[in-house]
Amino acid sequence: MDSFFARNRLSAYLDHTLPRSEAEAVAEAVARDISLSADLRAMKRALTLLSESGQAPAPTGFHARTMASVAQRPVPGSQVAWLQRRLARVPTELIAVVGAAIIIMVALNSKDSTDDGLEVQDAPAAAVQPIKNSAAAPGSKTASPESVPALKSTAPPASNEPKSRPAAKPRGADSAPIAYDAANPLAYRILHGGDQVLYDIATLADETGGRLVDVHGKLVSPHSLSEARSFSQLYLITHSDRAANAHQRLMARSGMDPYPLDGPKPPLDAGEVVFLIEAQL
Amino acid sequence: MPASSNLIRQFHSGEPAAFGLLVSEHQDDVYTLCLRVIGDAERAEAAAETIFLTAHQAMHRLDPETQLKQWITQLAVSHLESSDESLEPADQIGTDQSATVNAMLGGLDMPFRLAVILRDVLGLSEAEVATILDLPLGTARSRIHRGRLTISRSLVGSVERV
Repeated sequence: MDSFFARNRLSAYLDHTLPRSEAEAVAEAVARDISLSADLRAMKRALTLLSESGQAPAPTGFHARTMASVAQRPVPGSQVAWLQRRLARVPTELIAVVGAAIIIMVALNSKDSTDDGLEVQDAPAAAVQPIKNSAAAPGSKTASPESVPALKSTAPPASNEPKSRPAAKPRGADSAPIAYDAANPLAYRILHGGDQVLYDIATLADETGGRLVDVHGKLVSPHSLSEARSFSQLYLITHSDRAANAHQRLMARSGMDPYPLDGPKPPLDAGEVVFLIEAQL
Repeated sequence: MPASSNLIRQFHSGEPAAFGLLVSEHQDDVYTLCLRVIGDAERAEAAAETIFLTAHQAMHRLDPETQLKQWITQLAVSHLESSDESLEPADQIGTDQSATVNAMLGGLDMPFRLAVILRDVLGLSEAEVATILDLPLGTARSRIHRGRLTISRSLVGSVERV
């Protein structure tokens, strides 16, 4: 192999990616050509310098500064993505049932607006919530009276009460609280709980013999929520014996509306249960 | 440290610590790439921060099967190529190793500089370099080789001058 071809293979020769026969030919060319030998030595030295001195650790505080900058910017599409993920888990049949319930409720609402004193019998919670939006839907008066299911008259005919249905109260205000079920862990979103809410949760963890961890099971310490760090997500792990108590105490906070925890969970020991806590300033 | 797909899924599920883990895992490589391309520590840090902000804005669209290291490196390369963050003219090669590295790389045009940094500073394979730079494997190999030859000759020249 002449020096020109050998020089073009110096990189591959140093990387040990040449076939054996070619590597031997390059080695022979290097041995007989001083210039080629000098190039090889220089390249070795350059590569050593690059690999040993080329890496530079990020400056001290880079991580914190970057995360502070990130915290000031919203994640585009995050709410859409959240909604898509939630909807993706809802079975089609349930969507159909809720849709049918909405249609019935629109019809009932139309009836309410024309018949004073009529009140709908208790409806499932899933069907009650959509009516808040559908109550004001245009065109709802076109529903036929025949489509209205069982109604009962509870108010005097001459009553001057508002014809529209009162807004649904938050779950837990006067409806039955969600029962705790160890087989189906829950997530609790605490909105406007104040900047010290995580300390409250830490106290609850202490008093129920539990601990606060991140998704990897690593212990986390509470911190104050602030404008720059207005959201926090952590897991409360407690023993199953005390889980119901922890649940009750979480539910005692106003406006709690837990939902199934079907996302990632930290590792648990036997007999332990987990709650996801999401706190928003 | 969670695998790429886990980290992306955690980010998608709203886990606030997920992006912090990504920064922890890749900040040294991204900063190194910026420093070796730009040559100035302050500008390199600003560029690295911009790259992570770009990643944060784009990550919600990311396929969970994406290789995060490759993706974040591609973002960095794209930013550095498009923002005209060129290395200052090579200083005299001196005794400080890091400055020497910058001076060596400063003698390379951007395509060769990027190839050499990815291969010999960050330690990526030739195939990874080709993928990140969106080049055929042979072209990536050629750029690596020519870049290496150029810097090794500049090193010999500087030694002879010293």
